[in-house]
Amino acid sequence: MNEEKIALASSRFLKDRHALMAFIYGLTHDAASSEDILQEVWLKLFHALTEKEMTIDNQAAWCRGTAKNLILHYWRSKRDPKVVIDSELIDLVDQAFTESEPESDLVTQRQHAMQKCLEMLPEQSRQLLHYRYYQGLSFKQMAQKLGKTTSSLMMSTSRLRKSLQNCIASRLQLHQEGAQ
Amino acid sequence: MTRFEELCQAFYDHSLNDESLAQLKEELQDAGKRKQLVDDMIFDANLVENFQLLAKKKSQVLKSTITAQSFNSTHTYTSARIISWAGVAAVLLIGIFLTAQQGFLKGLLAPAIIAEASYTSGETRLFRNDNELKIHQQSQIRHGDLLVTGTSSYLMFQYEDGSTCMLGPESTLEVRVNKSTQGKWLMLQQGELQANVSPQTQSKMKLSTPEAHLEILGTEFILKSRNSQSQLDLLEGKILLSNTTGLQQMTLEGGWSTTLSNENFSEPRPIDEKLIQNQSFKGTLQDIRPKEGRLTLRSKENKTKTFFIAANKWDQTQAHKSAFLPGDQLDITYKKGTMNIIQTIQKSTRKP
Repeated sequence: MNEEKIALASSRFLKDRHALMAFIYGLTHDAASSEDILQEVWLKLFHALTEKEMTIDNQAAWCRGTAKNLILHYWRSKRDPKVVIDSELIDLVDQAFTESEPESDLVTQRQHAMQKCLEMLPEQSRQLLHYRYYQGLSFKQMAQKLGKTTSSLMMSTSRLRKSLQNCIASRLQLHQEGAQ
Repeated sequence: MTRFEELCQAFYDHSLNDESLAQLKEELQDAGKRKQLVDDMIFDANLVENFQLLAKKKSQVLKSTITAQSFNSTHTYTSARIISWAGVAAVLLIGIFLTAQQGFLKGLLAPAIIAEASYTSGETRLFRNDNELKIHQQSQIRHGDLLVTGTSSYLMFQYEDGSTCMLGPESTLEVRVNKSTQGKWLMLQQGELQANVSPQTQSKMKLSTPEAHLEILGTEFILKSRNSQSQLDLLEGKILLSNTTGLQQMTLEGGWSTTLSNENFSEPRPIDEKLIQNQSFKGTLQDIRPKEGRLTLRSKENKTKTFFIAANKWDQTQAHKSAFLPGDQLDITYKKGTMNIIQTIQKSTRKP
């Protein structure tokens, strides 16, 4: 086993972790299963490098490809007839990630900035995001829980996301100006 | 909100139908839209991760409060909080009473039963949804329950498949079910856990400590988690370990031991001889309680010793029921683990 190769792959995987997690979570919208799939991708990568001694040129794309198969398997095992998931759509999402190649450092910086911005939100707004992004509730479920309409909740969430994005952008700008 | 945003939200909610799926695919032919989708997905994943971090921090605060207040009878609730909780409880109780009469709320309100307490000794506590419940033999243990033991206290519980876990003194354990695989999942916050896990055919059992994740297919082990370190002694079988980042992996074989921390595992080393060295004890059987899985022996020197029998081995023991009666002379060989789960009962002689 080439230890240098493994160390390099590990550090690359760590760097790409956030983007890969975004890809998996975006396609499953289940935080626990996404963690499991992420770990499974790492295991497969490790196996490919050590036992199969494969040479992987574009590790991020390879990991997304592996994740893609695991996600399809995840949905097949769920056997939920209500869920429409087709490989063509997953391919389009994969293409989108390949084109953007999100910069790992920037993703991490955004993550930290978001932490601060979330703290500044009013409790009610944070609770709304908590239902959606921590408890993984759909808008329909949120509407039933909060006694509001789906469209009004979609609107409020969209506004909240925009204000968070603005907050993150201004924090990142401040950070960059500070660095210069 | 644009049509594209609506389609993305429907995609995340898995509420796309054939028509909206086709529309989304068409929208995604545009490179700008694809870029927007990636940004949104990263944003969402960041949000999830931030909320998970917040929840982790909150649960750490809660758990340290529980540990701090353990067994000293102090109350951290303010009276205002108690009154508000009592109000909520009263409303809930009335609701439950009214609907339970029609007999369909009971099952909906409670999380699934996972295991059953088979033996308790000393100070043992069960926390469910931040409330403390009494725990005794045959108490049901449900998804999300937090088990806490005090000094010199033990809590043994058994899963339906016969897997047995014994929580040692001053330990905190969260019992869960892995939502995606339906497998067993235990989170040892601190303390000591000894387990005898039956072969897991459906899905692997997951065991987490603050330092590492373990995947178990069926084995016997002792796990101790204290001071940001976990010590794993594997008596039998094979366990796949990974650190909390999931980036370091190792397979440990029976008869080996390792120390786990956030960063790495120590090189496997042969298990401490004291743990595998067979010990024997000869004496007269005083007491036998099959449900508790407990035997009490008195030696010739009039010293008594209690043995816990792993509940999944109890049937095996009961096969020798005729040889097991109070007053019998027993010669027991066991592994010198902290909790003395009996391995073999070599000889039993009935007094004439």
